[in-house]
Amino acid sequence: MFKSTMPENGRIVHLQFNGESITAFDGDNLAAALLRAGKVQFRTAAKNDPRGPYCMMGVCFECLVEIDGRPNQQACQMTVHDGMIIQRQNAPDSAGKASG
Amino acid sequence: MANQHFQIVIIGAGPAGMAAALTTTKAGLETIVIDDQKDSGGQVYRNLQANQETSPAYLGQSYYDGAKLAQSFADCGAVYRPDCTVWQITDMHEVALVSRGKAELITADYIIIATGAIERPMPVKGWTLPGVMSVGGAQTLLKQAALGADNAVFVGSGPLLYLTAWQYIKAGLAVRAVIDITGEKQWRSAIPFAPLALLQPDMLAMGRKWIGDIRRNTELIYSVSTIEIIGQSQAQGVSCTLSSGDKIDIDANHIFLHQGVVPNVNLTMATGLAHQWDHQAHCWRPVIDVTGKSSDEQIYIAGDGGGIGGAKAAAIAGRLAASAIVARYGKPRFLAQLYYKLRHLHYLSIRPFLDRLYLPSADFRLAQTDETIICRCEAVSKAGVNAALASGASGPNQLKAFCRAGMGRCQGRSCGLVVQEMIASHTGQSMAEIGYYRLRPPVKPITLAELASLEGPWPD
Repeated sequence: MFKSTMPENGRIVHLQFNGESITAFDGDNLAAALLRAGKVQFRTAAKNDPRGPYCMMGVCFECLVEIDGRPNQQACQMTVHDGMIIQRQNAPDSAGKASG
Repeated sequence: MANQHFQIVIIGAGPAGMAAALTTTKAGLETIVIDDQKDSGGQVYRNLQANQETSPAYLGQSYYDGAKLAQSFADCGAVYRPDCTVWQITDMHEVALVSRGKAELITADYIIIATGAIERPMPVKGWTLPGVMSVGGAQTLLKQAALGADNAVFVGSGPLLYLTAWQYIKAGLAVRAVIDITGEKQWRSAIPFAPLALLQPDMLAMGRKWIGDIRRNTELIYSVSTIEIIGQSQAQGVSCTLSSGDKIDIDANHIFLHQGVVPNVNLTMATGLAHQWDHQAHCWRPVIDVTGKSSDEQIYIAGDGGGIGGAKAAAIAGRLAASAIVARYGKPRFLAQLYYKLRHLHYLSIRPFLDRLYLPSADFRLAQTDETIICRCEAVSKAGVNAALASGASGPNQLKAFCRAGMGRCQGRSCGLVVQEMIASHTGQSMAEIGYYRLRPPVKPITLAELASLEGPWPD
């Protein structure tokens, strides 16, 4: 599990990931905030293949999530905001089958 | 037709883009720098200005070396547009971008592409499992969010792998193991170029320090012939076979892979610029002259996007390209250009050694088992690519139509080199003959709503 390597500080904001409440710091990178909260699977690819952030620089598209109703958002390129609602993004042939 | 015009459009705010802007703005040229990140610095100096406030020592001196350049860039007077996605450069030298959901066109006299490098794909079995990241990704988490994981395993080779494992150790994280895939063969081919590399004693000393500290603080495993990541819904461990035949299993939930970096050619290829296969570095690179000028007279390429040289070489390449452009406005800078050319050559002197030493063997460039995913986006396995080859797919583009490898959102960034080399080893042709996927704009996905937001007037 990822943990902070420096003292944590900053204003706390609240997010929802698949209905679960998560706290993050204002200005956090979204993928980093979810990883800090112990979430490693962000989506499923074709064939119900579980995936999570890989490159953290916008190249691999493995961290795609739905944010406030908008699909296909690269979590590693987004900044959190208070009240952000994030859904794991499932590939069309595996909708609803994701777990974890 | 365009919204705005600048004399110089620089794409990318890493060391090459920032340094180029210093030279063009000093010469009085109207310059805009467009970048896809929230802050300048590129990947190598990512989040540098924010990190300077707390200055975690574990990031190391080579990271903080970028501070002066980042500050000069902030003060240089270039228009700086962070958080923008460039999706096309047109034949008329319009740069098309999306910013906050809205598309724009910016025209330019000259364009400097400084879009840097991406990591070479490392297709080992299980590399798509959550918990497996690239080493670059792990390092980005450390720089961007001060996040690290205890008991991680680093697998692969190359300076970025040793640097990041070293940063992990210095950050007080427990590193479970470093599995080094550099083989004896690579050492043998690299050694003749070691004397040339001695022109960069600081870099060699830094590498020695990283590896020495790694050796003292964690298990360093060498002479590996196979690697596999174990897990069902997320990574649970690494299993490797040593060349002695012994098998080692290590439990780990975080596994970081890396086997070098290659130029990020998606934008330069989609722009229609000429590229060549680089035999020494085993990757594609744009055809550029010594100043970075591409096959298009108005487009220059600076930094790792033109060929891997590292951050310091990239900054000099940015200066060199920019001064060549300044000269074309009738302000020649003969001495400056000569100085930049020599500095650039000096920084590159370590590359023949590093390129050979850290070129992974074919065992690791190509997947080792049939079930290993090659194309991550479309979940196409090695067996799937081989089936397409067996049914007669003769090149990357036909193979894409046969099995969908390379058809996904990443546009081949994660599979292109692997697929191309699988075709080469199947047909016996060279990598240059096989060629690469035909890349087309948009080089990053954009929505129709974003495209429709472009403002006219439109030509007839």
